Amino acid sequence: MSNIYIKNLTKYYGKKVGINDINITLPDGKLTAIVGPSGCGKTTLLRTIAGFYKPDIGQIYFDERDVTNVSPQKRNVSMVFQQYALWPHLSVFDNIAYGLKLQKISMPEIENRVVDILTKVELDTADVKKRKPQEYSGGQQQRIALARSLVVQPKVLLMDEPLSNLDAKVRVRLRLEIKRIQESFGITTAYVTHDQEEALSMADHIVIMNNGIVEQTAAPHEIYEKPKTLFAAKFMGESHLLSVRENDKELVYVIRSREAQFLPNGQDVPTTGLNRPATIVKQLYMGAYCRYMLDVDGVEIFVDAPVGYEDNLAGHLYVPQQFVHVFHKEEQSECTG
Amino acid sequence: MKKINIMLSKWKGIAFALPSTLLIIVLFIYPFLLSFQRSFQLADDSYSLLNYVQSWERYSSDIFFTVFISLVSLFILLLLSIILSGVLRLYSFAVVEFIFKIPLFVPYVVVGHAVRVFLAPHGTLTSLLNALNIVNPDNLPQIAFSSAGLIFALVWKNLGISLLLVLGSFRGVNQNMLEAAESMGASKYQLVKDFLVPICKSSFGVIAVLTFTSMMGSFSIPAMIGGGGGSQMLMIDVHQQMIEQQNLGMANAIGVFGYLFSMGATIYYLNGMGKGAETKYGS
Amino acid sequence: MEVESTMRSFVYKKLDWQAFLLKILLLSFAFIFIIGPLSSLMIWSLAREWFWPNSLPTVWGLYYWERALTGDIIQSFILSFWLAIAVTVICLVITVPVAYLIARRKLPMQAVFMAIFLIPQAFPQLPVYTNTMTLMYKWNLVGTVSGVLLIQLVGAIVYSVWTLVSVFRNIQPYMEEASFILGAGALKTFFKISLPMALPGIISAGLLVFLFALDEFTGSLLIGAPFIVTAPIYMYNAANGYEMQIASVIAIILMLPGMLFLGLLQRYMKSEYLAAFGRL
Repeated sequence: MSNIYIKNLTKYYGKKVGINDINITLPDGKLTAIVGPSGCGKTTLLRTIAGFYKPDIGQIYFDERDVTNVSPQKRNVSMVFQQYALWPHLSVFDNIAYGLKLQKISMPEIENRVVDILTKVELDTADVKKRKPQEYSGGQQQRIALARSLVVQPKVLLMDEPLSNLDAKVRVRLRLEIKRIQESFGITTAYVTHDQEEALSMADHIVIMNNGIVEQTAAPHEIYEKPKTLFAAKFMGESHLLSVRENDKELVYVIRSREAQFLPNGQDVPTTGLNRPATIVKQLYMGAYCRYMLDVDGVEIFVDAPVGYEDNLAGHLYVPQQFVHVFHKEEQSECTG
Repeated sequence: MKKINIMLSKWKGIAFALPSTLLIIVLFIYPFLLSFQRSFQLADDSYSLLNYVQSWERYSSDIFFTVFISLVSLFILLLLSIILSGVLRLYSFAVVEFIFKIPLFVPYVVVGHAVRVFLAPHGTLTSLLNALNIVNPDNLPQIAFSSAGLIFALVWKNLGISLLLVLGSFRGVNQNMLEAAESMGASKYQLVKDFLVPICKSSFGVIAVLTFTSMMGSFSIPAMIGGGGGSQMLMIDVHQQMIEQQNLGMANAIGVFGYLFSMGATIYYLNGMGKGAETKYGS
Repeated sequence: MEVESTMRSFVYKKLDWQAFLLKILLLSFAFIFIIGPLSSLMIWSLAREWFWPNSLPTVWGLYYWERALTGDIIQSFILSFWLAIAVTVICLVITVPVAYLIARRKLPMQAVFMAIFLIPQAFPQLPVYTNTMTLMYKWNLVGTVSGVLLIQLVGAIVYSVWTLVSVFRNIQPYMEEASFILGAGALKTFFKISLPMALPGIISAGLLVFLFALDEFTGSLLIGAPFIVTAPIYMYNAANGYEMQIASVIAIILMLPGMLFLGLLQRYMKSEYLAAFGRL
């Protein structure tokens, strides 16, 4: 196992910047989620760590070893892909055993290790020598892919949107499974996803990327509760922006539907935190609660509140002090004033 | 009612299909069937197996020669296509790829002639080798009018299409599948041997059958290059029997031997087409 | 899916000695194996005098080009060109509907039709054409332009049908269904939706059929000889008469349209379009 140190990593596609001056550390034995919207460079970063891309500037270290110019074959990393990328011409057993065969391990030992890993990812070991991976369900195929990656005991496990191809129920279940397996192996893992919920629930550590740069690196609760940049705040949670002018400064409030409240006229509005007069325009019934579309100074803000308010009801938008995320509009940086 | 309508409109479609279909039936399918009948027919219009007996006596060595030349050419062709496609799939050399596609659009007769002037005893290659003192001018290699020349020309002509098909199926293999293997330590050679080739196995079958049939039935290249005095390709025999000897029965009997080899290949091809659609691994 | 994940990852930007070496190796092989024979044609066509053991012609010149281009070869080229044009036009007109119907499975006895168009691809042509020749004798077509046109059409139709079937199969049926839903009939949908969408494919099929007809040898030799001499047959005769220079000049001219198309089409070339080019 190893720490991964990434220094000044930059990669261009022609003149376009893929990733720009990335400096992060992926801690030993932990799961680091790399999140961001499509095209933010997260997959480029992952593939550069894997060695499929060579960076234009910068270094990658696995502990003290500089692997920047080492080919993927010799990095001792394993990758799990969104589309599983299982080999269709090999049985499940041979898929998993391939990496071990390359290492010239004896057949009985290979058998033992394959059965062992299959048990760990909770796959039935019967018929694995006969059945091809495409005969299994999507969730099972991703378990096979995980087994294939882990069986070679890599130093680093790289996962590129491994759950994005699966349906919602399987996805939630596999989140737990992957987390459990990753912890039991104690393997340094980089996990790319566009799904902030997945990142928050699985990661020990989150890297938020946008436009090829790192916006913020922190533990999940810190990223969620104390976003450092406007982008980081916007990206996490269902959020809406409210621009205001205070003391000659353009400020932007990031308001999360879950954290904001609607207080109808007649209720006390606390003086701390953010409050603004608001009217309900429309509502979406969500079952346990309602999501109300509020008109706040002509801006549409969505807020979750108890079921039962009527459209056109006047009141206040209220965000408690601990949930107020406010940023300077120009610098997009955090405003602590 | 609806079903009848659909059937009716289907029959209307036949009108559009008729001209081209009739042309093929009259000018290919009917003569094709005729050749079976005529292969049993003697000059006095009686029927017997005599044509087969005689053509086997005279041409059995040519039959073996034809199959031998086609199989060897096919083997070399597939080997070359796999090596080239493997390299072109894993690296990308646009210029090289373009050059290897050229044979696709060079007519057979031109290939025959070009290979002849290239490999002839006093041709360009020997001249070049002679200038470089590699060959002895008193003992020049006879490549052009030998089996080797024939194989060279057949491989040359078919390399374009074969490379296009093999490379096409190699490119259809999901990049991530190769990367998964690469990150586990597989070398470029292993990527080709353990993944590209086995995953694309079904397409080789189709290519093999297509080119085998075309090599066996080739006429212009052997007509230009010849087999070097000894055995010659079957289609040359058919042409000789037909045009020079005017022996229709014998020409057709030899033709039927040709059909039989293609027939086996065709059955395999049709099976392969059906299976190819099912086992094509998505990317 | 992100954009960058679909990019070619094996192509390293920095010089990689392994790749460089392979490139040199491949390039030299390509030059010797492919360009070698073709450059021989060029050298021969320019050889005014060439005596052994000189490794290059003793006297160079355009003599044979002039001789070739002022002689009766011109007639053969004109004949071949017009034949190829006629074959292409007739072929496209009669095969576009069939190919469409086969691609959409709208013919009764689909399997029979498919077999009819598959058989000529699967068997050697020469023995079949010898029998076609005997039929054409009866109909007084041997040695006539119409006879050669017909025999060229056979190969062209088969080739064109399969090329066009794959063109039409690449047009999703829901494009047509959208038109049906809006109330357009089958013919209107075909002419307004399917045909325009297939047009690029039909044009490239047309170019390929043109090439096919221009290069056709076996059928034209059997049906046309000795009266109708197309360019490939002229070349064949010249080569067999040991007129190496003349044959080389014609060979180069015969190659030109193909090279032109390869340059134009190679980006769009789909392998299934070209399967028949192994069989000229």
